[in-house]
Amino acid sequence: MKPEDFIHLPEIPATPVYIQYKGIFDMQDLYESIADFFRQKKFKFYEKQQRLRKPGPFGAEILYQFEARRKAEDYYEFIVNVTIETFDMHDIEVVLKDGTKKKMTKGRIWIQILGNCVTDYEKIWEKSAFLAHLKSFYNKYIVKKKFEGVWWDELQYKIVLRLHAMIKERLKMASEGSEFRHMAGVH
Amino acid sequence: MGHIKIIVDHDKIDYSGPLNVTELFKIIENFIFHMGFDKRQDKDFEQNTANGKFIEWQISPWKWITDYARYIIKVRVLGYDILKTDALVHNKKTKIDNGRIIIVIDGFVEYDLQSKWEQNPLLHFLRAIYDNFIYKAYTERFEQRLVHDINHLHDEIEKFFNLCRHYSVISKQGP
Repeated sequence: MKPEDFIHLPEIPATPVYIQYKGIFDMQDLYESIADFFRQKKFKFYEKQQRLRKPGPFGAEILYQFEARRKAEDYYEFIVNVTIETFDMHDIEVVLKDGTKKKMTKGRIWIQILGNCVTDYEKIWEKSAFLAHLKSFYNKYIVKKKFEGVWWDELQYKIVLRLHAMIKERLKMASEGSEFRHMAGVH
Repeated sequence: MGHIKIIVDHDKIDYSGPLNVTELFKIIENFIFHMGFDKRQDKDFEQNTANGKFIEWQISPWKWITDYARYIIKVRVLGYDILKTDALVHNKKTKIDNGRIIIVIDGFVEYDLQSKWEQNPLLHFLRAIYDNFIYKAYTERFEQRLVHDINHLHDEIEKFFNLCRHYSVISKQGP
């Protein structure tokens, strides 16, 4: 029997968020904004994969996979996985409002954001069966409210949905902005 | 996966004309935020086509009402051929959107999310008895409150579009 089989609530994922956009965007700006967002939130940012394919004449397909981790406390950490996939991508030159020319990208983009709040990331509580049961008890009765109410809320509203809103803002989508941006936290 | 009961089925608003799409989304989000719902964004798609923007936006916020039941409101917004046009607002020339918007609202009550009462037929039967007879007054009140909330949201959207409003919320919310 594995520890995951009986440990209560070892992790709680945030709701997955998706964006699909077709049009003109600035890929470099988008990438820098995402990296900067995680830097401001004190995350460690890893680029896991970058894959380029040219399947047809319409443009390149690029896959980016990012992972951001933040050890919020000794007991729990936030992990956010961002996957960006672009299709039919090609460079174009656009004229900005002030008359200057800028190179931007035209194509389709698909973004997935997956957040997860994981407890006991160093697996200290899984060294023996007794400790694993103790962890299960701790998660189920002692920190349950905090886990579901405070830590998860922070991940969902202050990280995942804010990143989502920020990406929409960078892409200049019609649905930009988030009404949850003023949500107060409890600490 | 618990037992999901459809309470409001496809409440629809179809609108063509000038509007501000960003403001529309803000109004809906603001409403669900003030009603105490948690937000879940299902879809956020935007495509720039030759005829204008195509938008598909869907959220399904939820709110726990007891540790046994929760509300889910699914709001789906479809926007077709949305283009920017010039308009005069208070004698000032501004750009606003123009196009067709379809909004579909569904309301669900989800019971027994952890499926504790679905482990065997006896528990399933007991739950049905409990929901429909013993706890009937509460079950109906939950449903009535969800209908009230959705009517309120519908009314807010109609107000925003400045439509001929066929419903205004006069019912008192249950205790």
